[in-house]
Amino acid sequence: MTGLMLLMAYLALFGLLLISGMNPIFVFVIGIGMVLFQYFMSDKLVLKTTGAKAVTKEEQPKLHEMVERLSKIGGIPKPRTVAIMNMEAPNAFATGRSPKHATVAVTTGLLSKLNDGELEGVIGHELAHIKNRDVMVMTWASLIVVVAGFLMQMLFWMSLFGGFGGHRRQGNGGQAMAMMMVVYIGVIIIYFISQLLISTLSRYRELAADREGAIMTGSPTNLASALKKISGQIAQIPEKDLRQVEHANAFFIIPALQGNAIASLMSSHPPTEMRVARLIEMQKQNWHLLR
Amino acid sequence: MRLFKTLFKKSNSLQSDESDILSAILRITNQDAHAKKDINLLGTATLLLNITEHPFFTDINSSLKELVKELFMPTIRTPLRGLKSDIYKSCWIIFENTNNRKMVADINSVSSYIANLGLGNNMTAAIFKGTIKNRSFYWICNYRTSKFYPLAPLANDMRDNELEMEIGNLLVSTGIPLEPHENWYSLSDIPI
Repeated sequence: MTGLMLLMAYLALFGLLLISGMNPIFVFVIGIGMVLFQYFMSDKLVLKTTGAKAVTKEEQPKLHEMVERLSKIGGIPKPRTVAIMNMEAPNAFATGRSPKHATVAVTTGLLSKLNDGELEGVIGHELAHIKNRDVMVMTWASLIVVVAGFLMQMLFWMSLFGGFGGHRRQGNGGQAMAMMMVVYIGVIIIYFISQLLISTLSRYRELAADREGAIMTGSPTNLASALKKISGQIAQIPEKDLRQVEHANAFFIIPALQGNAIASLMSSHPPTEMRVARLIEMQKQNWHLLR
Repeated sequence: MRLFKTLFKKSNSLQSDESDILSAILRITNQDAHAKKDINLLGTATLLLNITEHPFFTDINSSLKELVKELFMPTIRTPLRGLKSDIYKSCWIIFENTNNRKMVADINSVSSYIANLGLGNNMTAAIFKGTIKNRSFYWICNYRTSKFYPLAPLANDMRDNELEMEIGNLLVSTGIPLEPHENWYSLSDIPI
């Protein structure tokens, strides 16, 4: 469904380009160039921007052993780079255009806050992204966002400098300008719809990586526990006494944590509660029989 | 009663082995091979009530004796003790029985009796004592929400939140209704 809607968005963008008189091939070639750059340079760019440093087997034997063992279980080559970011917040990422060129990075906060089982859960999830070639899928899926974004900027600057046709098409200036405005608005709509679709696709890929990673490690609850820690749910456990709250009559007015609906639509990751619930459901359903 | 409904869902019988939530509890306490964790209940539980002006609370020990008489001894298989606590104007009724299944049934009988006195809203929670990997924790059934949550106290009123999260995952994986973690309120001076 998401794929079909993305295809429709591509067709709509193509149509708008034809209407506007721009060469769609030229615009898409520029977009593809940008995406290719991102695709081939993603690992280097991400390492540079996050400040992650590659670590050797001698420096981090446990982490390397974990990555190596889970890669074998997952049936993929061990990622070329294992890196650590000096960051208190517990987090991790995987990048690289193929399993052979992959990088797995974790923060120092993740290493210190998670136990071995939970760390395995997170590494398994990241290796699942590599196995599922999510970097490639997401990079190419986001081509439409790159192209629409590029067009938005181009049309914006054209409108500022009178490039909407007023000068050259003297007789039809008003009509041309109106048409370009329609194209501009159309491109903006396609840009936001594409962003939503890419976010939806990303959330699917995250859930798939949760599942694949849990199968690799053999323990969905380890990843569930790690997700809770990473999302800071532990910090939300109250310190007050149950009786204190009951006497204050406040127990029933504590709102369930509700995310902002729009923010959750644009989010690249599904809500932690949903991921945890699915992992626990997996544990319940004797998922290990699938291994 | 809430605890009974929570534990047994629609079943009023202790015979429904696989379908009710108690069987889930027993599965994990019986060291389910897939759970790979060893949760044990220690045969001790307590019912927490908040005290009001009602005569039941004037002399809790006499009230419990009356309760045992009313419910007939065969029904109550658990030694009961009443204990008052001044800080929060609450009191604890303590149950001891190595048979967890019977202990749960007894807590339910006592809860029903107290509810029939018009004191249903005075019952706050039922608390079971257990261990996981040789570490103590409490398993709390909140009577307001009919949901469970773990409490793993440490010294100086601290709590082992990580262990609680671990137990929480285990509880929910067996189908036990888990309280959202924002409602995992502490309980101090638990007398078991």
